[in-house]
Amino acid sequence: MSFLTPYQESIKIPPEPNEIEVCIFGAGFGEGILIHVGNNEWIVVDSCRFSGINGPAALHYLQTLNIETTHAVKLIVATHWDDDHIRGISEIVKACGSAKIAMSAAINDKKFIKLVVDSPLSKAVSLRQRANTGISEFNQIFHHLKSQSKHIDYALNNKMLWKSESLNSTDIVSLSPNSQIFEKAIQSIISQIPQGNVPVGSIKAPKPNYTSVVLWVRAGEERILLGADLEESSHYKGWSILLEDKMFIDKKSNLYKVAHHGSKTGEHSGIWTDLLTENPLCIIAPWTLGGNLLPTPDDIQRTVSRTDNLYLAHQFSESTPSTSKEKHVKRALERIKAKPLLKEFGMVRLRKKFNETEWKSECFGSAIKVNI
Amino acid sequence: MESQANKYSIPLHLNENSSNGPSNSIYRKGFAKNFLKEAGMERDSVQTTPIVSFPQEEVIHHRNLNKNTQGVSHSLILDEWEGCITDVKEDTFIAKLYKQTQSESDLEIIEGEFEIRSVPEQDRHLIKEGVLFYWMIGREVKETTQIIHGDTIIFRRMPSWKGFDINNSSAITDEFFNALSGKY
Repeated sequence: MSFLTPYQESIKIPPEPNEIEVCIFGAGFGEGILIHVGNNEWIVVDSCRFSGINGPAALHYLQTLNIETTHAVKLIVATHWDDDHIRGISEIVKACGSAKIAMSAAINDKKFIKLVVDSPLSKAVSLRQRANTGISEFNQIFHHLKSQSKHIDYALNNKMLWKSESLNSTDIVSLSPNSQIFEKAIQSIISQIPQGNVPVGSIKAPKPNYTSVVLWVRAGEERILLGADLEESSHYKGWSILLEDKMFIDKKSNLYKVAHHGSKTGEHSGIWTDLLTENPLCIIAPWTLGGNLLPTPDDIQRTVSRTDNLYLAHQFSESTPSTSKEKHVKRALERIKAKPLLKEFGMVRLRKKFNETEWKSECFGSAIKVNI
Repeated sequence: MESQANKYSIPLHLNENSSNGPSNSIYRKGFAKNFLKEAGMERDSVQTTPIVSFPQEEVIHHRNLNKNTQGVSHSLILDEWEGCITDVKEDTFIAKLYKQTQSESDLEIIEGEFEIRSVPEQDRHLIKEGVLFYWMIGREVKETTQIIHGDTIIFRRMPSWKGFDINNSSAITDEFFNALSGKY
């Protein structure tokens, strides 16, 4: 299976050198972003896979466009290690040999590195592969980078991650995390490590998500805000701290990847007043787990009160697992009320020439524009 | 004295519509025993207590179970998933389930809700967020041509964290830390 259907041949047409492109992939349980900043220079932010498609979504899409990834991808950012953002990113790192690799500075800590490369979990290969996607992907990236004598660019607030002068002046800047939370983040991870012989086989990223890397893209006259999964809670003011210190932001953005799947916890009024133009173009990658669904109808209402241009990279629909048709298997799956988490392909693609004012939007697969 | 069958006692959901499968305890235990034997699992590998050392972590390989065993009782695994408990409620627990497959394009992840009573009492203390298990759906064909369908949960071996001190760095950790920071 591939992205292509008879009605979507246009997906194969690559952007022109003077075109900026933003793609957001949504798998229902997964999010990935790909940006063309002009002149065949690409940025990958996070990764997801689709059911029935080989390889990570971003890599598959670039191959569909016939883009040679080794040199074209300039920067890969893992905003955090939740498994809905990280699945397949090690494969992207290996396929994009000249790209810089950036991750949250919150994990630049020997304790985290020990967990990933020298802990009981890191040695339990089969445990890592499925239930610990974040640790598994980081383990593979760390080994690959070390073998290639490459290092990680650790992202924190107001740090230039990548700069290009090839066509348009392009900067990719991280706006978070703030160093105030690093110790708290590591403690959150350590607290999950069991004492003695308690049988825990899965370690998760800190919650709420205060280590996520929010990105600011400055390409020519364009400004793009990628909110990652940064949250704001009563105990940690993720967005508040970011908004207090935003030295790289010279003008407001008219394109926003809404933080944390459009949820209330990813919301802060200052995002809309200080960082975004009026009526910006907004994109959300929906998420589902444990019977919860993001964005909720309230989240969508709240977002459309801010913008007329909201796109969802995936629209949920009732579906059953596409597994074996054997009737006894189906009965067992019905009994546990099985719901597929990894779903079919959905992608929103936004393009414009650098001298144009309007973005051209296209929805592929299960992606939709929200009708107001 | 504990019987051999009891050693292998695994909870089993029998389909009410299973052909001829009497849902008494003898058949339940027999099913599970055959099921595990066919899966290549020795008693040690289904222990629910954590193992002590590595590298004993394993993936169970049982891809060729559909052999001709005419006249002999045998089991066939129809579908197999690896689960990770994500939430525990009063009577149920929620798990993310990853289909056991060799092909990346067949990658399939689902979410399911299991009744806690489907887990034997002696294993219920293991039902905690982050714990891993196998969920296997299969059938047993008896030599009398009876066919019993069912599924079973087997908790996975877990790495032993005993003696692991994350605060004490190691040579490997230092090597990676320096390399990834660009300090070669």
